[in-house]
Amino acid sequence: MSRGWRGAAKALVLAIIVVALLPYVWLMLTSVKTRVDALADTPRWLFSPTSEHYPEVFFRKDYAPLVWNSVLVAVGSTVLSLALGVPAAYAFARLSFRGKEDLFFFFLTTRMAPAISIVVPMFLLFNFLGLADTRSAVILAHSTFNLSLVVWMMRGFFEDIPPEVDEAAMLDGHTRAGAFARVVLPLAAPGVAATAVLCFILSWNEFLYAFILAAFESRTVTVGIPGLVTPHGTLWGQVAAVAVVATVPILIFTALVQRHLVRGLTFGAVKG
Amino acid sequence: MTVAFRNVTKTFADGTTALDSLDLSFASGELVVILGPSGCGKSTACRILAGLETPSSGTVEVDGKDVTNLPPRERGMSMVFQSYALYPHKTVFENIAYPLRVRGTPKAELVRAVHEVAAMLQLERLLERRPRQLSGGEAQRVAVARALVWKPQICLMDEPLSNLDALLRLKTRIELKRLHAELGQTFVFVTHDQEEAMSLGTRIAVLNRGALVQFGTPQEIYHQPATRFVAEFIGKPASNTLEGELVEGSFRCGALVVPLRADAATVSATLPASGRVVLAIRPEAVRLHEVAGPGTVAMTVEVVDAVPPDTILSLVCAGASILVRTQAPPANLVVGATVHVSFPLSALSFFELESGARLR
Repeated sequence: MSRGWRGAAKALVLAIIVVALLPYVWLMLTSVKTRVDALADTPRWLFSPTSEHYPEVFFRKDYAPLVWNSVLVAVGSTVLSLALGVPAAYAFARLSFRGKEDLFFFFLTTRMAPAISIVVPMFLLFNFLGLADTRSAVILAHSTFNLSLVVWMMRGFFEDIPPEVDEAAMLDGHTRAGAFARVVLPLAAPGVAATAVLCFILSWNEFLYAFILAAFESRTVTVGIPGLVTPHGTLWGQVAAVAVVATVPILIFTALVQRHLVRGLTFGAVKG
Repeated sequence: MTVAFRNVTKTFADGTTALDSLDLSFASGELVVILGPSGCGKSTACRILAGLETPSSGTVEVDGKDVTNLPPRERGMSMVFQSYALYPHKTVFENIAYPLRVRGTPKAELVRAVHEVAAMLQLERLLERRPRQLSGGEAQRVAVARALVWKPQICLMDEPLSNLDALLRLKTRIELKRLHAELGQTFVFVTHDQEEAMSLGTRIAVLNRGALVQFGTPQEIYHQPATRFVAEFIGKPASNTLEGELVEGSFRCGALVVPLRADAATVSATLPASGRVVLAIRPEAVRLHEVAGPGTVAMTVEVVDAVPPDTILSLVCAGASILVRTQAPPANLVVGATVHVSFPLSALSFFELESGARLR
């Protein structure tokens, strides 16, 4: 690649980064702007920052527990979906059984119905089970879509690993389950990490289920934000403050699994 | 110890029959080669023996004990895969050590066993590498080491040499022969390469379309092929096979006439007096003569293919063509020249035209 092209490529990447990050930077700026600065007709880059929004929304309005709710729900749903979905995906990848592809497609169809059409029956069901306004209800609801995501994504990752690797492990003394847990799963770690990040983000950002199923005690951050839209106007500074804090767990979670996100462990499984 | 397939049939979900009533048994210490063209069911037989596939019907026995439904880990067998199937996230040492680790071998013994087998296969300086840093030949040796380190009763090898280049394949073949001689273990070796089979096997099981065609020593397979298929599959080049007619004590195929009662020894009482049959003769068994004599056939040289020390001649006459392998070709051999050939009776095999079964 010539120098000119390399420079152009760098400029392009830089432009993409700017476009992607600008809204986030704007959000952070808004969270420290006064109401007057935030609503100014011409966007203001220079202003005297204020720190009033953060203590106001998190302590006086008590939004801090909402972040905790969101964390528990997202972690709970991610763990539950992985615990059920990863072994299921392995079975789809390796075993042959009657109706396999139909069952696999069924997992996808669970995502085809619009959420709004199932949320009311779901609410009635959880109410009947005594789970109304609990984090468990939201975890289960989020797992309905995360589980199918896990099964569909992980099957592909498992199929990328040559079946001879499992077979070698079984001849080396493992049961099928042992070969899965001790040999195949470590090889699929990048896939599990990538899937976990997606599950976490989907659950973290989800609004409808969380809003209908747990609007009070157990509400999540996404459900809490509309509470800042008041009859006297939207409290943009506080909305921005909540949103900034709400991105932190995703950043932490992604950083934790980033090591595994780099694919490449499985290369060389067959060919040298 | 003996291993036996009893009437084993395997039909896959898509309806293909990989194995059709396979009956095969052999004793410990042998190096049994399962040989056949692709799709003949040889890999399926190997995988059924390993416990990776379950037969649709029939049983597999080891020492008279039915192991058909035992999981792989309870069969005391190891396997070398065509793709090697090394664990990419483990070092060479850990790959070799893994069967011992899973079986809970004490640490000191494990280290000793790994170093012993690594020395045997010249892998000592590679122990800290990972599979992706190995060449094909090195990866293959690691796979063999992993299969031998825990001294299993039987070591299965499913086309272990197919991914190596020709030179390395030959070298590794000799290496495997040495290992088998040293260890005295039972090896089951699956291949489609008849040369590999002839070189390695104490006995060869020839499979075609899921059925056992012949089971015997390389000598038997080579000199007394049980069917036309075996005659045409074994040898490089394979047997010449000619479809022709038995008429008045001779075999006729176009202008090629082979007298079968040239001397007192008639070919066999098992041959019918007349009818259409298939004659087979090895390319090196055909005799070349400078001049015509009793029982010789005149043929025209079509191609001369000299690969020292052998010369392979492609000869034709009306209605027949054969290959002849010789190390002493007639002088002044040119394309278009006429040579005289004769077929020694002792080197002839005859097969039924319809079934391909051996007549003599």
